[in-house]
Amino acid sequence: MSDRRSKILGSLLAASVADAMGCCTENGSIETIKKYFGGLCTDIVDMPEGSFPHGGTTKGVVTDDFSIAYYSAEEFLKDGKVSEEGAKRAVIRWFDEPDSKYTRYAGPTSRAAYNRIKGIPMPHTKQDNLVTRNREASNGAAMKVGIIGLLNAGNVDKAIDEAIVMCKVTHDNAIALSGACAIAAATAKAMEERVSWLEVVEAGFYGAREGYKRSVDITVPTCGATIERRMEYAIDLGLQYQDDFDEAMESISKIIGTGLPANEAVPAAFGIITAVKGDIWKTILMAVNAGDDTDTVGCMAGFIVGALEGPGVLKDKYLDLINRENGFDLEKMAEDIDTYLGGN
Amino acid sequence: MNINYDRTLGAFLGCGMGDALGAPTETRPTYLIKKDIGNGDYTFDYTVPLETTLVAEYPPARRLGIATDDLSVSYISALEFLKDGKITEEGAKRGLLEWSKIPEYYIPHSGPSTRDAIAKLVGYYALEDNRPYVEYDGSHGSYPLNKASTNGAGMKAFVAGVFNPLDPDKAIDDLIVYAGITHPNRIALSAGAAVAAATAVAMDEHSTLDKVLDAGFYGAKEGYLRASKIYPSVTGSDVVERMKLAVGIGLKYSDDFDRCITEMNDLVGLGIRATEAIPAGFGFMVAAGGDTLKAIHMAMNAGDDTDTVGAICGSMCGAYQGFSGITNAQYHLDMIQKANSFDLCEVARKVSELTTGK
Repeated sequence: MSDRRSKILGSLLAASVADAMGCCTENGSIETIKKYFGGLCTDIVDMPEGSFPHGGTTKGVVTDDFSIAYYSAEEFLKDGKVSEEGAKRAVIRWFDEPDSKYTRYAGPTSRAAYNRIKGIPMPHTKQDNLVTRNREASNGAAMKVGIIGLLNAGNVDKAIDEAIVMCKVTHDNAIALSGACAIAAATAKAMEERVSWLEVVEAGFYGAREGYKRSVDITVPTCGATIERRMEYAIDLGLQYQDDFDEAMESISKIIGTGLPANEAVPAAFGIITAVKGDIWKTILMAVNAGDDTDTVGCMAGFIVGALEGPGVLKDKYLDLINRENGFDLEKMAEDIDTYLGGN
Repeated sequence: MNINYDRTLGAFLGCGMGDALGAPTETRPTYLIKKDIGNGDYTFDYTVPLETTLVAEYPPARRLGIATDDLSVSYISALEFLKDGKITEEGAKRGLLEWSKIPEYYIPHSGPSTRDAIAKLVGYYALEDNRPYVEYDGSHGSYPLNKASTNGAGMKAFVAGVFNPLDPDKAIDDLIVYAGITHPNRIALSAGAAVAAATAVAMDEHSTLDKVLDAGFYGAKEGYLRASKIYPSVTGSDVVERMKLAVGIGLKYSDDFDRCITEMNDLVGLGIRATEAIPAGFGFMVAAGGDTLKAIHMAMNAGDDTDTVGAICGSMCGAYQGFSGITNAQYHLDMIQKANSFDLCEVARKVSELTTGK
C-alpha cells in the first residue's frame, strides 16, 4: 500500500473507530463514564440496554458522524467531484434508507435540512420569526467533513472551499462552517508526507479563520462564541497539560466543553490533539472519555490524527469489525480516494 | 428609605432593566444589533422590539419596556413565596402555573426546561398540541437531564438572594428548591446558586464588590455539591471555570467596552447554556465595577441571550447599588412598571418587611 493510501485508510479507520467507541460513552459525563467502566473506556464494547443512552445497540456500528461522512464520500467519488448536489444526495440517501442503523442518531440541524431539501413542512416555532438560527451552530458540519480533507489531500485552501460547499447544505451559518473548515483544513494538511501535529494544528486555525471569513456573508447570521477564540484557549490547555492525560481531559471538558455546539466540540478536538501530540490511540481515548458528545469529538479528531499516522494497530484490531457491522469497505474507499487524488 | 428595602427594590429593578433593555436585542449578534436597532451604533435605551424578535411571537407584547421571562418569572414567583412567608417548592410550582397563564410572557419566552416543568405540573403541554406529559422512565440513564443545563435557573435566582439577605448558605438551599422544579440539573443549579449567593451578600450594607464575587464563586461550588446530592451527573462545562474566564475578561477590559463585549462573546459565550450566560453576567458586573446600568449596557449590546445576561448582572448589581444608587432609577422604574403592570415597589416592600421582620 502506498503511503498516501495508508494515510487515507488510517484517517477513515481512526474516525470510524472513535465514533463506534464514542457510541458507548456518548452523553455521559466524565464522572458517569469512569464509574461505569471502573476507569477509562478503552475498547469498543457491548453496552447493555439502559446502561448508557445508546445501550443495547450492536457493538461496532458507527453513529451519524462517520456514516454521513461515508455516504457523502460515496457520492463525491461517484461524481468525481465535490458538489452541493452530491452532498444533498448523501443526506437524502442517509435519511431515506430503509431499516437504517443510523437515523436514530440524526441531529436536529441535519434533520431540519433534510426536511428543507425534501420540501417537508415543519411546524411553526417562535424561532422562525428571527433573523438568526442560533441553534444550528452545531457540530454536525464538522463531524462529517474530515472526508473533504482526504479528497483535498495537501490542498488546505481547496479543502476549506469544499467544506463550505458540502456543509452549507445542512449548516447554513458561519460558526458551524468555521468549525468544519478547521477540521477539513487540518485533515488536508495531515495528508502531507512530512508533517507533524504542529503544522496540522496551525492549518486548523487557518481553516477556522478562513472558513469564517469565506462563509459569513453567504450564510444566515448566527450568535455564539467563535471557533477561533475557543480553539486558542483549548490549545493553551492542551499545551499546559501535555504530560498529564487526566488533567488535560478534565480541563478541556470543564472549560471548553465537549458538547453539541460547534464552538465546544471542534475546539475540544484540537485541544485533545495538542495534549497528546497527535498520538492516534491517545486521541481516541481522550475524546471517548471526555464526556458529552464523545463520538463526534472522536470522529473529527480521528480523521485528522489517522491521516497523520496511518492505521497502525487499529487495522488488525478493528478494520473487520467496522466493515462487517456497517457494511463498509474502508480499504476500497481508501483506494478510490487515492485514485480520485490522481498522481503517484 | 431603609437600606434593605432599597437593595431589594434595586435587585428587582436591575433584573427588569436588564430584561427589558435586552428584549429588543436578544438572539442577534452585535453587528446586527448595531445595524437593525442602533442605527449603525450601539443601543443604550428602550426600543420597541422588532418583528424579528422572540417577543413578536405574541404581537401585542411588542411595546416599549416589555419584559420577558426573566423579570416576569422572578416577580410572579416572589408573589407566591410571599404568601407562604418563605421560599417553598409549592410556592415555586404555583408561581410557575400562574406565570404560564400570562400569554405575553409564556408564549414567546417559555424555554424547553420551563415548558417541561409546567407540563409535568398540569399533565400536558397546554399551549402546544395538548400532548400528554410522559414521565421519563430512566431507561437511558441521566441523559435526558443533560438538556436542562440552561440559564433559566440563573435568570430568576436573585429572588433567593433577596429573600435571604446576608445569608448566602440559605440562599443556595432556597435556590435549589425554587429552581429545581424547572432545572433538575447540577450545572444549571450551580449557576443559579452563584447568582443567589452573590445577591444575598450584595444586600449587605457593608459589602464590597469582591465579597459579592467571592459569594458567587462560593455559590457555584456549593450549589453544584448540594445539587449533586439530589440530581445525577450531567454533561457540560463547569460554571466555576467559566466564571474565572469571564471575570478575567472583566478585569482586563473594564476600560474598553468594545473589547470587553467582543472577548466575552468570543470566548465565554452569551447563550442559553448555564455555563455561558451566568459567567458572562459576573464578568460584566466586574467590568462595570458593580454599576447596574453600565453592566446592562454591555449585556444588551454583546449579543445572543442579551436579556438574560442583562437580568443576571442587573439583579446582582441592583442589589449591590440599591435603588438609590442606580443611574436614572426612577425613569427605569416607571418604564418597566408601566409596560408590564408589575408593582416592583410593592413586592420589594413586602419582601423587605418579611426579611427584616418589620
